[in-house]
Amino acid sequence: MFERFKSLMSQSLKRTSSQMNEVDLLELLYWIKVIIAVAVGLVVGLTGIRGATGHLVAAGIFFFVFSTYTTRVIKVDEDSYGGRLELLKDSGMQVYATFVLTWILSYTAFHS
Amino acid sequence: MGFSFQAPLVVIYSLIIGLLIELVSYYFAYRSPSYKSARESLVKAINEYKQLKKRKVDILSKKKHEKSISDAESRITSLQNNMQKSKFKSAIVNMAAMFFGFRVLRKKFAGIALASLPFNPIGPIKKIAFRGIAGSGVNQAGFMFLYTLTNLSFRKHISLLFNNSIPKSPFSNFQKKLEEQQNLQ
Repeated sequence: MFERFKSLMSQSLKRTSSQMNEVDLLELLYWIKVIIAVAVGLVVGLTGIRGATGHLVAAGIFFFVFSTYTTRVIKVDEDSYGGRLELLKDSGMQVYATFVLTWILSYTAFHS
Repeated sequence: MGFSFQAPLVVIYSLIIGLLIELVSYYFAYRSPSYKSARESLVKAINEYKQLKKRKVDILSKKKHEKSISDAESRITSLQNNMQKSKFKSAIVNMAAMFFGFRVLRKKFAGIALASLPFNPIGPIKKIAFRGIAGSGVNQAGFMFLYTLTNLSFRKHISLLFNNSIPKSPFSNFQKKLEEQQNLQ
């Protein structure tokens, strides 16, 4: 079960984008965004940061980590996807919802 | 408010409903050989399309190359439409499952503030967050908000985990128009 997910995660640090096909690459980037969103949600929730500050801190960390991953680890040719912003925007709603949900649950658990 | 297991419980219930919907879709659509072969063909078509886009051709072969790209785009769109139509078969049962799940949650958690919000929701999100909560409900959320967030995020996660999702189109009409404008210049 979840063979595809396991396979993608095993490739996430070993391969570059030129060694992966299009569909696998986009799915891998989606999961990386989800993992970063959960981690950032936990960090922001645990530290008790609220409001717009929380959103800004989360956006900053997310952008930095994702950009580092796409440029230095997986080495994606961002121009062929319409730029870094297009890569970030892809499935943006689901990733943002995951972040908000994690933020709310961790904040409620430790600060309410 | 104090720590309570009710908020994570709502998320778990919502996940179970999401899994149930995925199971229904699997029964009606995903397990059919036509859907599986359409998915394999679509993945292959997308990868071939990307290879075509990367290839550099001389002026003599340009028209033929553009025709190949256009044919690939049509094929991808057609395969995606066929897969969407297959999924539509389970749409009514999925809606019934969501409705039933929502009723179960409402019966158990209606009127209870389950989570503290670390931000002030605005507009329609405020209405969803505070709906049904007794009292002022300032910076608190009920089951509906958590259910909506879980559905919004985890439906796609579940679909991808079970390898049932429809791969995304590598082109958009907006991108194509942008490329056409750039070529005209």
